Amino acid sequence: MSPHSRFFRSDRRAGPQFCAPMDGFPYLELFKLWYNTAVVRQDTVFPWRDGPMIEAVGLGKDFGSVTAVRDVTLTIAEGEVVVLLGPNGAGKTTTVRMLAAILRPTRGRAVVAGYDVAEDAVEVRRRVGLLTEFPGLYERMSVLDYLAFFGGLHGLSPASCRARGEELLHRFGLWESRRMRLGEFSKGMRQKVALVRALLHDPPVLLLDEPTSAMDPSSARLVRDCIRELRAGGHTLLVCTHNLAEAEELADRIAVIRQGRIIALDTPQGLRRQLLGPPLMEVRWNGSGDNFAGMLDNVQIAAQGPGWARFFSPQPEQINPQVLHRLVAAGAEVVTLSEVPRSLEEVYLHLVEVGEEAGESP
Amino acid sequence: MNWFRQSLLISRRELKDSLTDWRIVTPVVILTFLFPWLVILAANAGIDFLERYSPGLVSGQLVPFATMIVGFFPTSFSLVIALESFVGEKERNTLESLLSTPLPDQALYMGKLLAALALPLLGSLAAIALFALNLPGITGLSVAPDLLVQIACLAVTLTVGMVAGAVVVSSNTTSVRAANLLASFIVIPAMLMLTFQSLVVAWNARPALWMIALAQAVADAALIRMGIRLFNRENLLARTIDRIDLRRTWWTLKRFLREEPAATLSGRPSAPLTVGRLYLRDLPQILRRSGGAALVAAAALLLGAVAGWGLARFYPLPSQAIERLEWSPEAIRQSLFRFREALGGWNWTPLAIFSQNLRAVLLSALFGLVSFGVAAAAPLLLTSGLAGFILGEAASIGFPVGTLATLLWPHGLLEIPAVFIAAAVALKMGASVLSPPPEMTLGETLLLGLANFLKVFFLLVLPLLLVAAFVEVYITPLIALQLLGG
Repeated sequence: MSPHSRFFRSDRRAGPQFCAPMDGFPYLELFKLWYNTAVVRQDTVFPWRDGPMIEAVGLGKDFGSVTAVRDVTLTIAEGEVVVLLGPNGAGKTTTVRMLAAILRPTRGRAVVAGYDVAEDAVEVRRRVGLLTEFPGLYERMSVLDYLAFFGGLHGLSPASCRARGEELLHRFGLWESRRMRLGEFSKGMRQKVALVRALLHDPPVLLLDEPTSAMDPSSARLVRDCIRELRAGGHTLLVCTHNLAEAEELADRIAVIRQGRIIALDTPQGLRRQLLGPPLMEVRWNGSGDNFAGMLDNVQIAAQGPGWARFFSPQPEQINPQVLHRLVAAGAEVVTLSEVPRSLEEVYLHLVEVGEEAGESP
Repeated sequence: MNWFRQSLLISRRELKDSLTDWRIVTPVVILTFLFPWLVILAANAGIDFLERYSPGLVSGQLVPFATMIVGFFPTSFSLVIALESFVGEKERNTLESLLSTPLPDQALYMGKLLAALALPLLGSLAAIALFALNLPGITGLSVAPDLLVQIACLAVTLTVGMVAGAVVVSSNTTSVRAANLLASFIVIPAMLMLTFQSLVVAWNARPALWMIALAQAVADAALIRMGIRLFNRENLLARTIDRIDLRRTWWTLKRFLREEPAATLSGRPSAPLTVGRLYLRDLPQILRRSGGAALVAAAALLLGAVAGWGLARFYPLPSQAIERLEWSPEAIRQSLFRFREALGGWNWTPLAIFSQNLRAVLLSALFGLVSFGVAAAAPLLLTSGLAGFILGEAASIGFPVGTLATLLWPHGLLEIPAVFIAAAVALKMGASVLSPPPEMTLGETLLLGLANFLKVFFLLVLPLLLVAAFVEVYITPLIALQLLGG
């Protein structure tokens, strides 16, 4: 765990540990009931939950005759980072706004941190930290005043707001600028302040819309580190981004949304496999071995040239040793055997463009 | 944390924001602290000048009027803050982060309202106090303490109304530009109100000032309630452009006309449109929903009759007129003829009577639309007031009131219920904007009210008025002649 993990509190995965039900009496259930009603609403933003942290089923949103989100079905476990990718106008921001209980879904249902976004909107908002698409800061306020204002709205006492704000400002390198007016900040600094605002009340769920946009590389790195630490601390994150490298770096799973529908949801590796086929391996050798295709009848060759070949390896742990063995047996000197890197961009473009070429109507 | 404390957080931030903006602070300072001095000096010069020509006559009216002006001017910039309270945040992209906090809607709304009110109100009261304290020293005149309280109440209630209206506009538009364009709907009524108040002050009708302040306070409460009911986070974020979509408006109205009112409100499917359904389900539903409005209309009816009767006691017919009265059928016929001539040859035909009543009903609907329903009862109030006055006058000269009242019944049995029902439904239509049904916009609420009014109008009111007009022309006169011995 990084030295900065203390900023993001303790491990949330464990949750309160109590004894199992005895003699069939529902001790645990009764405790959960008491915990959620007597404790949660007053002192903590963490309800006792058994299910996933974010669960959306058939979520949809219409604005008059325009359908912004058609069908979003998504489950995000506690401590998981899911990156939402999609072209402009695909419904990312509307989805995030529905999950943040700012917009009421037209169809479907979403439960965030144990609360229904439509029925318990205030409770959801208490437990969600939202980084909006635009930082949207009050330009006449200083950073400290700004954080005190939002801390107050989230019910933090002035002392705890000050302490938490100070920690986060130090973390994001903003402490020296704490008395400056927000209007004097650069774009990247504004984005950092907006992120601090989202983290201020230490919410278990974070919805981050373009968290590193307008940031210089080192600031972006800082934010990515922060996201990793939040995950390590048990926070659940849904991140919208157009930065595919960042998505790949951060995501436990990636959801691709197009025309208001989740069209793919898997790990980056899983998506590659699902859409681009099994891992593609490249082998290079010296000497004989030109009859590569003839050596292996059960391997699908993708391309071949003098001294090299590319083949699909659905089960690398079985197929790759066989390939090496045959080549060596044929008298070739194997120089390298490696997986051909296939970027997430390929996967993304495949998903988005294939759908568009197929002429799917919104 | 209770919602009021949260709303104070919003107010404090906004207020701090305003106080660091020189474009707001400068007019506040000038209008609050310098303008009263200017008015005192101008009043002093004006009084000196006028006293030469009409000693004592003008100064008595000029000082209260000047006090009103002094109190009103600092509130003039209240609209600037209020109009951009929500839509300004939307344009600056700060709204979404605010909406993502666990702040209840009413806390957010009241916070904005209080913030927009604080400066203008404090400015107004400070300016009035400054004026009242310094006036005697310079002019030798003073404002009576009770008048000062009255003027302060008028300024406060007028400001609250302007600000509440502006916040409603701000939370229901998509840009500051649109909000500014709509501001004339606030500025013009406020100016008319101020002019009216000035006239009342000039007439020295002091009790009427209390009534005006009370009416303004009621309107303020109505506007604040409407604002809270209409406040919708979703609409604030979702709407991108304001445009007139007549096709969509017409389509919505048609849908409301086709559907059962209860089905529209509950979102469940409506039974197919048939004449039977309209009479057996739609009309009873609308009339049931207009129960409260019917009570108000009944109160207006009663109040009008009682007030008319009472006025007849205050303003009896001159004795010379009574002495000249003749009750023979021929004399009545002659009177009616002269009456008709006086009305410019107005024909006593069913069509004429029908169109007259129709005009009254439509006027009632129009008044209802622009006054939160209150003025929908005005034609009812005036008509019953007139009837009460005539009966009162008749009673005062010893004419058998029962006989006269009987003359109203044949057609009145149809006409009065028709006008009464129309007024009640019109009142409901106008009042519905104060508390729109959940999930309905202001426009949809008005369209639903209009659809309900049209159903009642065409299915019930119009036929009743038509029959009543025939009865009034062909049956009532016969009964009148019978009763009067013709």
